[in-house]
Amino acid sequence: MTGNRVAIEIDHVCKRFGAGEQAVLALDHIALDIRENEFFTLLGPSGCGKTTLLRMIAGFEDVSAGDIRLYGASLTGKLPFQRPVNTVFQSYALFPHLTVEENIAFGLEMRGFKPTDIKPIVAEKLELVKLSGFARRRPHQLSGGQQQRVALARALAPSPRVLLLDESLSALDLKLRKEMQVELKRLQRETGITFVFVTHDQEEALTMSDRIAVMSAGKLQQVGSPEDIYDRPANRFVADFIGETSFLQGQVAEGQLQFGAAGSLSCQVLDQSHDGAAALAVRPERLQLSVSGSGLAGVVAEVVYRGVDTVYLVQLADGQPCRVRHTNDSGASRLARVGDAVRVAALPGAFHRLQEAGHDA
Amino acid sequence: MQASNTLWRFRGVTPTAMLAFVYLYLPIVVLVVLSFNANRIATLWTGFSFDWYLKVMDNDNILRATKNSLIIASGATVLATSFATMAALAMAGKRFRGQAFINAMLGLPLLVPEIVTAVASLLFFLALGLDLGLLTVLIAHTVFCIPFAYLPIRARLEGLDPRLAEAAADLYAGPFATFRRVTLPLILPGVLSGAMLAFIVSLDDFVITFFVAGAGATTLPVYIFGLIRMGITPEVNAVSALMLLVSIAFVALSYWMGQRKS
Repeated sequence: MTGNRVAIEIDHVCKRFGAGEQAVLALDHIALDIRENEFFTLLGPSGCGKTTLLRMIAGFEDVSAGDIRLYGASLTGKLPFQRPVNTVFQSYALFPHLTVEENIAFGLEMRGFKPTDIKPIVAEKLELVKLSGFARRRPHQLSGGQQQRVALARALAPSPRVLLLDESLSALDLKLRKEMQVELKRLQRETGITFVFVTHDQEEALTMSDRIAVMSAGKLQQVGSPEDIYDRPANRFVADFIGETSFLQGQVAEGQLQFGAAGSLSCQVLDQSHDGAAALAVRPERLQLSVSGSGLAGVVAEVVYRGVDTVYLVQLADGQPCRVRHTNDSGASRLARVGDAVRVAALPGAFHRLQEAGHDA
Repeated sequence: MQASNTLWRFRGVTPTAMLAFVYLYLPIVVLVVLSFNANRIATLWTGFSFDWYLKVMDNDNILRATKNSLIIASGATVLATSFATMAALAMAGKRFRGQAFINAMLGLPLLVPEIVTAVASLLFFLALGLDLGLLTVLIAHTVFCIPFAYLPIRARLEGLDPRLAEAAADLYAGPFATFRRVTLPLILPGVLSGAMLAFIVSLDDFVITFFVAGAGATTLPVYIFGLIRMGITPEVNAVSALMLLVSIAFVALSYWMGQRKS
């Protein structure tokens, strides 16, 4: 499904806003390759530079240093209308004075397609986004979800080599957003176009992407598949930003993980190369709570019932807090109450050792 | 509906407001009423008549002045609106040094006393050696119409989502195609509104025209001034009432255009 050719090459790109002493480095030597036909996501908190990077690919922002290449050809100096990429804007930016079909035809007209050639393409794109009956409507007569689809159809109509999506789902309500996530994935598969998607929603990124680039404060933190990012976070920031994580300080010795007064676990750590103090990250669903089993000793500090699961906040005996998730699939929903003494056991490979030189969250 | 603010309720607001409106509009009402007066003496009501309107339609001098006024107003409107649109586009574009200063310069003609502009224009034309006539009036009118045309266009552009122009550029539209297909259609209500205002300001102008119009370039307001010097006749009332009608029509149209959604 994912080709090996590189579609977009981001070659040590920097973006400086302002000049002299007050200059702010919004993007700091970003280097990454986006492959042909992949669903690539730029993920990070607001202000991390992900949208700036996307706008640089589209041509709306200048590159301060470095280069962006599309299939080997540098985009530097090319204006937005000279780049074979199209954008789905966060606000959709549909032309309010044009009908749905006129919006979709716009890019084709500008590329000099004949009206007779445009018609079937517009009809096909309308079908693709399931809006065939809406050709004559104007954008303000459509719901948010429908406008989103028109924006997609409009950007896909000229068959761009790369489709850029800027927080395109964030204006939709939760249910519609989930639907559109599946829809986007389907469109990407059916059209075979490379998608570059920008979002601050880690769940969205995990759901849809072939690969994810996690960004923070203008720096690239990690690039990898959703599994890489989730299971093997490169640093504390990534571990904290993606999913729920407890950070624990422990000692590695003779294949054992020791947590002072809380006791020790014999479970394997992913990186055991060095004995000694270790900064560890662990997902709540990889820990197990019991009242009388084996594991680290602790006391339940808080119980958060969430329907599908319950999260227990446990204060370990050595003073460190950690979260344990329990799926409510057996009917017996409450394992323990606040104040109960419990044991926390870990599934094999639950603990991930973080790089000591990692970034602070 | 907005809740009324009790803190802002004062006694006597309604009668004061009514008095103000009477003060503003009673003279105009009197003028319109007297334009239908049958008596030769304008201020002495003796009966209803359309005669003065018919006389106006028959008066070659009035018709010639009207023609001049319309030529100048139309020309000045087209020129001023074009300049104003270009200025507004430049001001709405990328920020640049001195932008606030230029914005102030664009609006300043609204505040400069008209008599100053009039004398300055006259001196300027004389210094250039231009013969006073329709052309000099047209140039002068274009200049003072620009800020009137500029303001509604600028307001319209400010309300325009900058992403729309980006979307057009993203869809392979060059700068000119973006303007013609996206920006212009969306700011058109503002452009038309500005044009209407420019037209009416030009049509009504007296002071500047009086200074820079040579023989043969007499406009309607200048002609009316000439008539009054020989005494107020019902004919003057009728011409004024007609101008009032045109003004109201254009201002209303301008307002309606400005309010209209795209």
